[in-house]
Amino acid sequence: MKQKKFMKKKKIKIKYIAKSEGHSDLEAKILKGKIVEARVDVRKGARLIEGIVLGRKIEEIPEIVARICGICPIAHNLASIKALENALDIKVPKVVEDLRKIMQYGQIIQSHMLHIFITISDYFGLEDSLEIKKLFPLHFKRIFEIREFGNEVVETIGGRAIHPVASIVGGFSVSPSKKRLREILKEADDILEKAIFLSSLFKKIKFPEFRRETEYISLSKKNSYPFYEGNIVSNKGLFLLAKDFKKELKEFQRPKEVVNLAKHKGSSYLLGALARIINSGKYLSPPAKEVLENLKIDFSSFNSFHILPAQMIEIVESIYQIKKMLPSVLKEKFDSLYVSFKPKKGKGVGVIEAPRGLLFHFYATSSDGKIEKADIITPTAQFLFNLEKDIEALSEFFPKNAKKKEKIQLLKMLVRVYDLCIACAVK
Amino acid sequence: MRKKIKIAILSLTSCAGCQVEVLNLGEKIGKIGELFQIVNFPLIEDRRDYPKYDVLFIEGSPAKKEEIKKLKKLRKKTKILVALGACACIGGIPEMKNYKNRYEIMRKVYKRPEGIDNIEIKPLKEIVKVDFEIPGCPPRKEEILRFLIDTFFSKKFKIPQFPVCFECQIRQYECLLQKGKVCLGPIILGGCEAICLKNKIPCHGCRGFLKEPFLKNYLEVLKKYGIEEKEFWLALEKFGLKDEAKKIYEKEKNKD
Repeated sequence: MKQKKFMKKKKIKIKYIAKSEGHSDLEAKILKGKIVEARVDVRKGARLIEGIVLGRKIEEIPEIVARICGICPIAHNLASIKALENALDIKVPKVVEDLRKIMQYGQIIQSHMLHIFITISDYFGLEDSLEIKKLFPLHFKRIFEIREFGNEVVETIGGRAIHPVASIVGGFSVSPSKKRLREILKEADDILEKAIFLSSLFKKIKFPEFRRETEYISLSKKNSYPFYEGNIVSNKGLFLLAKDFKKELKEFQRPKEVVNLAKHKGSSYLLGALARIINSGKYLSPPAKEVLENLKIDFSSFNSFHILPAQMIEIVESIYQIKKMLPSVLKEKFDSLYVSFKPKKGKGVGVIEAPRGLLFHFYATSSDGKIEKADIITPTAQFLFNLEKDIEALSEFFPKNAKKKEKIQLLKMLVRVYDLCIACAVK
Repeated sequence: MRKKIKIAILSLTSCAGCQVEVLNLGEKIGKIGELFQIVNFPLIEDRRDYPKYDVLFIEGSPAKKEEIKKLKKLRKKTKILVALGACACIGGIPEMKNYKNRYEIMRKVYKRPEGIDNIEIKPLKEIVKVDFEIPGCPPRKEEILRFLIDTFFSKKFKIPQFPVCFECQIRQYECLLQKGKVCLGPIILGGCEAICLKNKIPCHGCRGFLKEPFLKNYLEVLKKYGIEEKEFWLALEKFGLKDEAKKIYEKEKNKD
C-alpha cells in the first residue's frame, strides 16, 4: 500500500474556460503523463426550471422554459410545445409545423454562427474573437450578416429573436408577416452564397489531431436531414422511438454536482452537428454536400474538433432549407395558425434537435390545465460526460515536446469546440 | 485623445440571453470594441482579467453563495455597475423558485440534492449598489446601444417613466385586459414597444414596475373586468415581482 505514495498524481486545473457559454472549470489528474479523471466543474447555480413550472398553467410553459437558454430558446420553446401538444392531443395544421421548422432553421443558423464566431479565433492563434475583424475583415462581416439573417427568420415567425413570443401551444398567437417572409426569401440566395464563401475560411484551418471512438446519437428520418422530428438512432445501431428516450439514455448525477449527466449502455455519447452529419450526412442538400466535399474533412474519423466545420455545413443546410420551404409556405393561408384546446389530464414527450443536439421535454398535465410533472434533458448535460472522456484521451495526442501552455491551449480548444451551453446543462 | 472607457460584460446564473443580445448588435460590436476598451467579456475573449472596470454589465442573478461573494468583489473594482436584463434588475424567471418550497422542488430535480446551493434569488440591487438598470427579458439591444452612447458622451442614461400600456395604445394593439386577461401593461415600465401585446400576449412585467405603479387603482381595474386578484399575484411571480409588489401595495394602503 505504501507504494501508492510514489504514484502520486499531479493535478491540472483551468479556471473559467473563456469563449464558452457559462462558467465552468476544468480539473483533471495526470498519471504517468496521461490525463485521468477529467471533470468539467460547472459553476453556475441551479434555477430548478423543472420545479418552478409545477402548478403553472399549460400556456405559460413555452415562454418560461425558453428562458432556460438565451442561445437556443427556440429549441426549448418548440420541444415543450411538442410535448404539451402530445399530452393534450392537439393536431396543428401542416403550415404551422412548416413555420416552426423554418423558425428552427433560423435558430440553428444563429446559434452555430455565434459558436463559430467565438471559437474560430483559437485556430488563428487569437485570444479575442473581435480580432478576427483585423485578420479577415470580410469574413467577419459575413459572420454577422449570416447570424443576423437567422435572427431575422426567428423574429419574423416567433415575434422576437431571443425568447419568442408568438410561438405557443396550439400554433401561433399572431401570423407572421408574409411581406417580411418574402423579403427573407429574396435575401436567402445572397446569404447562401455568403455562407459558402465563409466556409472557405475552414480550408485555412488545420484541425488538431485527435481520435476517440464514441457513439454519435441523433434524430433520423427517412430521406431527410432531420432537425424537427424523427426516431433516435446512432452509428452503433441504436434505434429508438423519440418517446422512449429515457428507456435507453440514462441520467446520472455525481455527488454535489448541479448537472445530471447521461450515458448510454454505461458509456458516454456525442450529440449535435457532428453526430447529425455522421448519421444523416447523405441526406444533406446539394449545396451543403458541396461544402462538405470541398472541405475535404474526414468526418468519420472520430475527431471531435470537427464539430466546428460540421456546424458550418449545417448553416448552409439551414439557409438552403429556408429557401426551399418558404415558397410553398407563402402560398398557404395564414388566417388560422392557431388551434384552440381544452385542458385535460395527459402526458407527453417532445424531442427535437437543438443546435447542440437531442433535447428532451416531458410534461404531465392536470385536468384543470396545470403542470403536474416536468422533465427536461438538455444536450450539453448529455454530452458533458463524452467531453470528459475526450479530455482524457487528448493527452495521447499532445504534440511531442509540447510545452504546458500549448497543452492547456489544446485542452481549452477541445472544451470550446463542444459548444457547451452551461445555462442549458444546469437549467 | 482621452482614455478609452474600460468595459466588462460578465455573467452570474442566467440563460446568457442578455450577452447574446449584446452580440445581436451585430457588426456594431466591432465598432464598440474600437470606441471602448473591452477588458473582460469572457464569452468572446480569453485574455487575463483586468484589475479595474469603468463600466461593468452584469447579466443574471446570484444563485449560489459563491456568486454573492463574486458580485461583492466585482462591485469593489467597478465605477459604474449596470444590471443587465430581468434577472439582474428584478430577479427574473429564477426568482419563481422563491415563491415555492424551493427545497421540495430541488428534491424533484436532483436525486442527490445534498450539497447543492439553493439560495433565495435576489436582484443585484438588494446585494450591492447598482448604478444603472437596463431592464427586460431579454433587454433590448437598442437600449444597450443607447446606454453605451450616453456613457461615451458622459450623458446620464435614462428610461422615460411611461407604462407599457401607453406604448400599446399608441400602436393600437388589442387591449387584453378588456378581454379578461391579466396584463400588467398599466403598471410596468415601457420602452419595449409593447412587443408582447403586438403578439397578442399579455405583459407579465419583465421590465419591472414604474416608479409609482398605483397597484390599488390597478386592482380596481382588474375587478372591473372580472379578473380574480389571485391571477394577478400569480402573474407577478413569473419575473420575480411579487415580493416587491407586496411591499408597494402595503405602502399604498398605509398612505390612505
